Amino acid sequence: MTLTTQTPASTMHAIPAVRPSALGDTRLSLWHVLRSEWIKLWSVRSTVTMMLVIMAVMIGFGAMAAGVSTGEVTGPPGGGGGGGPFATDPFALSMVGANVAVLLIGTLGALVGAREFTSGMIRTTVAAVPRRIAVLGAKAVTLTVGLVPVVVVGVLGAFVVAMSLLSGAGAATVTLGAAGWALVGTISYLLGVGLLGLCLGFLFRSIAGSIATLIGGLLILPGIIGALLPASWSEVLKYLPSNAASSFTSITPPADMLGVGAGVAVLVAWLVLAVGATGYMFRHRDV
Amino acid sequence: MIEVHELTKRFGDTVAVDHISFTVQPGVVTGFLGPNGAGKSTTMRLILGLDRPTSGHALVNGRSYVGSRAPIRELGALLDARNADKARSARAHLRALGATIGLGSGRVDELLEVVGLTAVASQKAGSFSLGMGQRLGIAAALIGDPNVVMLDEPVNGLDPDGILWIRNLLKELAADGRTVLLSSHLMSEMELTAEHLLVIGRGRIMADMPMHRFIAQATGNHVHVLTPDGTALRDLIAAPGVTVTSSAPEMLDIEGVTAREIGIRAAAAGLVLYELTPVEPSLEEAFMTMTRDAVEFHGTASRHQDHQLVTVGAGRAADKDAR
Repeated sequence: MTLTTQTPASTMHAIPAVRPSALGDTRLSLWHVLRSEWIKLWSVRSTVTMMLVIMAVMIGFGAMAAGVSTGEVTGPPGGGGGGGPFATDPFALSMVGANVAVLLIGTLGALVGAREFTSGMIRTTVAAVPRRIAVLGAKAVTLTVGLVPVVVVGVLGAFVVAMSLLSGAGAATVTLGAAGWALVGTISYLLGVGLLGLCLGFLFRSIAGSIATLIGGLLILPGIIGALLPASWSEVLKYLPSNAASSFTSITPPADMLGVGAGVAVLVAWLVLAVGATGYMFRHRDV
Repeated sequence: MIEVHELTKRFGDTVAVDHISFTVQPGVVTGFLGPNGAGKSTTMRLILGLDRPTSGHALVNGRSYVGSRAPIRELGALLDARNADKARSARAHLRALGATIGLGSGRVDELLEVVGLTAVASQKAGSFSLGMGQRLGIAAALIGDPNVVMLDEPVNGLDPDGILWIRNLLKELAADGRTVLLSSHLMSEMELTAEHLLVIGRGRIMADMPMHRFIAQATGNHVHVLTPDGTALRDLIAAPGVTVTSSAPEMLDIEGVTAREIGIRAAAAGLVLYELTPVEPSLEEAFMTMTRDAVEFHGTASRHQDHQLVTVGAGRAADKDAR
């Protein structure tokens, strides 16, 4: 059999070689994998939608809460007035959207991770980047980098808008200086939740499973189960991610929760555990 | 070049791939043939590092694929056209893939042109027909201009035009000195495209040889004869192991004797032959002959061999033994 006689039709479809300009740096590198994951992140429309919704929820909820409560807010902690923390803590009031943002960001993270598996894309991805830890790392970095402006704008925007509404109505406010570390803490926690969601997406490899676990772990377990369990369990529940985070996402840590340092350490430990387990499983499982 | 050494993959009790070894050479299209579930896809997944082998290993261009400096330049694979995010456009899919080794959108546009998807490049992959998805998968496999191309059932869903296109494309890639491994269960397509053949059945390599040899060895000396003396010729060559079938008085289909032998004996007896044609079986016939033989082997195997088959086979057979 001879292959020397090519028909004109087939040469028309000749595969163009990689062009000289592209030959310079055609190799796998962490930078290239980051670029690839960056393209993947933003080429799915739901990412853009989610990012916008996260910002809108943070700022919108903070503004709404401030507007509704105007005139009812008294001084910062201990100032009386009753009606829960929102009535006494202008910072908590401005950050009311964070509770919803936690779910949205966690869901976005879970989606970014799980949709690779549900679509089968992960096989294309891993075939192109056989070093799987690089894939996971690049996904984590690009998601976080993508979330940073969204979360920073959302958190600071909510704070500024809520405070200006409160001060406009003559209600008590907190200064940026006083709220500084709590703002940094809130931003960090939200970014951490994105990472947690991503890990769950990789571990469960299903959108429903990872989102259910996320909501269960962050909301249902600390809230509902916490209320049902005997009081002695509250010592244990303090170490759940959302409870640990409550220590550094408010100006004064809640009395019944961990201190700031312990809270940060516990949340970091959760993240290390999640990323470690995800890396191990992703490296060793067939895809 | 792809080299596979003693590659084995078990899923629980099931042995999907059982100590297989073979080499896929550059320069020709190698067909990977076998029924569904024989282990074709698993073997490809093992070569790509998607599955971890239970034992053994595979090398691509002499190295483990997992350690490649530029993986998609070494090996381009199409395993399943659905392995793409349905929410992403064809162009973004290829851009993300090319970016892993630093290829830019220029290369992506070239590939879109090659596979004929330029006009729909901005559409979501989820909106594509099976054939369009297949073209996108082929573009993804070729984007790195790889030395080795591995395609699992690439003609699935392609129209006749597309099938012809991919056949020529694969031959051209092979003629260019690349290694091409193509799996298919469509034997007519395989026969037209592949020069070398790897046959896999129940996780084992059953044949590894040039296509023409595989077909030739399966032939039972089938000869087509056209003669006015049909009855006389039939009597002349009648012997144990020779079968003669006839669909018309002048037409005989003889198996078990070579054309040469028939010619010599007809001449000696003074019989006229209008036509004396050795009939080459199709790949499909050759494959069926081989698998039929394999079935017969299983049926007549000694107790000892039978037991071996049970132990390497599915757990179901072992259960039966236990009962």
